[in-house]
Amino acid sequence: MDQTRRALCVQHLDIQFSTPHGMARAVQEVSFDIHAGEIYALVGESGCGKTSAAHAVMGLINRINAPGHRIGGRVLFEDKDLLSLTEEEMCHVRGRSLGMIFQNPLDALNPLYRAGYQVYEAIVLDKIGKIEAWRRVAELFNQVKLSDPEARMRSYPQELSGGMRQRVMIGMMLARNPRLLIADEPTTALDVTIQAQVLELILALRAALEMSVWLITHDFGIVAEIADRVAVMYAGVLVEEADVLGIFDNPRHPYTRMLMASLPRGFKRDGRLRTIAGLLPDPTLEIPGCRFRDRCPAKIEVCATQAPALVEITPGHRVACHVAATVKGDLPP
Amino acid sequence: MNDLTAYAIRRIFQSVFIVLAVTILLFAIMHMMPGDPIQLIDSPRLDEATTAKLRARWGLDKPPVVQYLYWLLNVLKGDLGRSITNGQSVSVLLAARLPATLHITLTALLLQYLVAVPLGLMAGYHQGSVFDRLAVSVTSVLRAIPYFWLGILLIIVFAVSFRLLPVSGYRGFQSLILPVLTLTLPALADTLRLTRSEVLEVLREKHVTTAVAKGLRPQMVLLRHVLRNALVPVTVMFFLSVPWLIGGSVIVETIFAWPGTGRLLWKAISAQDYPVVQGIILLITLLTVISTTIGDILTGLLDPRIRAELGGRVA
Ligand SMILES: Nc1ncnc2c1ncn2[C@@H]1O[C@H](COP(=O)(O)OP(=O)(O)OP(=O)(O)O)[C@@H](O)[C@H]1O
Ligand SMILES: [Mg+2]
Repeated sequence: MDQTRRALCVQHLDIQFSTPHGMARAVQEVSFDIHAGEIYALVGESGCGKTSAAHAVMGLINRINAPGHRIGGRVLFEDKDLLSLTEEEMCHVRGRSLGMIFQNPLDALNPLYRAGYQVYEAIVLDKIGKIEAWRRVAELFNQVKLSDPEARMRSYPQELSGGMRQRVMIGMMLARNPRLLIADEPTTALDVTIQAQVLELILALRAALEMSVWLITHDFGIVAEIADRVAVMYAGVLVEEADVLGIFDNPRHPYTRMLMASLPRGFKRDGRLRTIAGLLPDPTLEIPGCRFRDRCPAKIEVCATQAPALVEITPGHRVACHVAATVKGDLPP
Repeated sequence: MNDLTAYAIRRIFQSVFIVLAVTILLFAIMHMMPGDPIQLIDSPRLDEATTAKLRARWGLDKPPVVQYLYWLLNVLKGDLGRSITNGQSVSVLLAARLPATLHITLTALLLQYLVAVPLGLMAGYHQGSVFDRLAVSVTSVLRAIPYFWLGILLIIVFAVSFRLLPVSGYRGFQSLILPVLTLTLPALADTLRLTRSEVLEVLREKHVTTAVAKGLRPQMVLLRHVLRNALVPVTVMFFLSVPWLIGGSVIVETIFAWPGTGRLLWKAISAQDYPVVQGIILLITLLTVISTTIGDILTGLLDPRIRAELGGRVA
């Protein structure tokens, strides 16, 4: 990728949660850019810190859902560092220029309000008249391809299927034309045919609204299908980042390679990451050296003492691995 | 809405049967008690013949079922009989005493809701703050104190030591304060704690994060998405707490010489004045059933999930 405009710039993002066993580092020194108009995928196995990173960017980690947490680094968005904004200032960013779809749509809507009202509530924040706002709700319900939008607007969330709720969520988050949409596993909770429809919808809306999408997933099938660039995360750190061809054609990090190897040939939608041997390291422990060392087939001596930095090995392709950074050409399997 | 109406009608019918059942039970219990009021009249002039005459006059010689049916018919006509001790009409007695009772119970209920809900919301939202910890410890104490103890404590502090408020009686606003406080504080503590824990629970629900993510300000999230959801169980509990409050009012009215139905009940029980006791318990039953019925119907009104469930059951 060339020097396109940046939609989001995450620098040295660090997130720690307070746990009974001490502070757990969920995200460590993560830095990446999302370019304007692209779909940037963040991949990694469960618990590696993807959702935490997204929530930190949205300013959704607070003293109520994570007492005693610590967040460090910078998140540049529209010339502002989101992490240093006050709650009041953040309210002008959230929903308006930064939208987020959550991992599980099933309980992401308030059961006491009708679906239409919950979208309406977001729209009227822009000082739009009531009638105009309701018209916009109907338009959005149409846009996210909800059948019988008028009836769906009057439905309560529990009367809607998972796919419908996810569409309502998408409509709600697109209501104010955000510049960046964070989609946290938008299809994980949905069945396969609905998954495809929701992805197509996100793709179509990205084109129509010219927004960027930060797509969080652990499904390489989805990545191959719609992402422009991909980052792979392991135990709170970014281990590799490249455009989608680079990742599939020439994966450099042993973790990425293992993930690729575990994919069935010719996978399409069933491209879920297979579990690979070993476990994520305990996030409360301070680990010297590379965090992937215990599970790594290619480890060398230096891996035990020195954490590898994320370095650019070819233009646009960054890897955090002592072996991959030095060995040119083919890597040992 | 249709489902709810059907449910409401069904629920009201049910309530009528509950009230009827209570009247039978009430009547049975009163008749199983040893002794009758005639025996209590300790007069040398009371010979066998006079006793029998008096029994006949009050209908005490008829079989219980007949006595019950007579009584029920009269009740439906608004005639609750006459007091055995002074011959006054029970309905007139109740009508005279009811306003005083409603005065303190309604004030207590209003205070309970209007004070406890905002404080509970604040305590839950600022969990762990000084205010929250204070609220938790004060309410723990208040919930554990029995009415009579609290009432006497308040009398000692405010009426005897500081002479700020009257000890007892029913004279104007000042005399209202201590009985209402006695009645409301334990219930207020309960409601506050319930609100607090509901708020804490709702705050952790995912839809609250959604509300924040779509750009709502914290106050809006708190009122529309946290308090609104927390209020469902709180409001229902509020209506279910009415019977406790009525029970408490018997004790409180006795302590503060409050001229309400509670104190009347106390006196009537001591004097074995059946008609009066029956009348008051019937009244209490009615209030209890009405408030729990309102509570049940309100749950459906407040929560579409319950409404849907009710609809399913009615269909
Ligand atoms: N509020 C919190 N308090 C304490 N620990 C937390 C909190 N939220 C997340 N964590 C921890 O942070 C780590 C990363 O969690 P996160 O949800 O970000 O992972 P994820 O990559 O999104 O996983 P998944 O694919 O399962 O969604 C986990 O170890 C998790 O237990
Ligand atoms: Mg997640």
